[in-house]
Amino acid sequence: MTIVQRSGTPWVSGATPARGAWLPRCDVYETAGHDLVIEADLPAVAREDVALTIDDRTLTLRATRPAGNGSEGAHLRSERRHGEFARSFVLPTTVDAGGVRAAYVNGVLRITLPVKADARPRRVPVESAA
Amino acid sequence: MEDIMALMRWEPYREFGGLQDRINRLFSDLHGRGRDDDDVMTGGSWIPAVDIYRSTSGDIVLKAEVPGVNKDDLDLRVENSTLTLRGERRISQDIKEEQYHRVERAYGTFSRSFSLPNTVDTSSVRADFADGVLTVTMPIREEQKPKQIEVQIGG
Repeated sequence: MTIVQRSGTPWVSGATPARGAWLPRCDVYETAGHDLVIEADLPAVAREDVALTIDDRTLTLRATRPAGNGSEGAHLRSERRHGEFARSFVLPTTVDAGGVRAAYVNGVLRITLPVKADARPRRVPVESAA
Repeated sequence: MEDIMALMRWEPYREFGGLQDRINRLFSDLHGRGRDDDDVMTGGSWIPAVDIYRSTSGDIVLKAEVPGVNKDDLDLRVENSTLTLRGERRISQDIKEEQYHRVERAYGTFSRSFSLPNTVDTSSVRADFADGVLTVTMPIREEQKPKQIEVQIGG
């Protein structure tokens, strides 16, 4: 099963280029409840090496992964990348940035931004003229 | 309406867009590659990054990045001198395609095979899985002790 690569939508198209040699991939999706979720592949990154900050409407994810753990001798193959990584996302105004939650499971960091209560899509009743 | 200009400014996206091309090229190059590549065969929709190194204790260690893959979806085999790692990263069934704003991560099956040096003691291979990284430790075979062979004398 292949997933078609999708280009950025206007909501998160303000993302700035990442610095450093390491560029973890991120998926962004909306839950059925219209919360915004960012999932980043960050395998083998320690909790203290991840920094998530929100400044106004910009969410910045920073992480560090050092090159070796000291027990490594000669490399026969080296494909994994290391170093520092930083990536920013411009959040849509419909999310409540203050309610951000982050969980790290199985090497994936999931950042959840709940939708503002009054930004939730709702039906507008149409009243008939009396 | 999509903001096309912002997309073009971000150069790393060129790498993501070309990922499928790179995988296709890998397939076509597979037989022509004369490099000292340990890969016997690579298959699947994505190719997890792998490091292989000698530990300071002399073991050969392979680390494969498979974030978001369940342990039950990993298959690790050692057969003769070949280590094969197969697996699948499943996309969430709860999220429909139109709910995605951006998809960069690869999903689907992967399969990578590596030739092991014959100094590896394949019966002592062990694997750990933590934080999305599979670590396979392959001890080097100890020197075989000389075997006593009892000689039967036929009569």
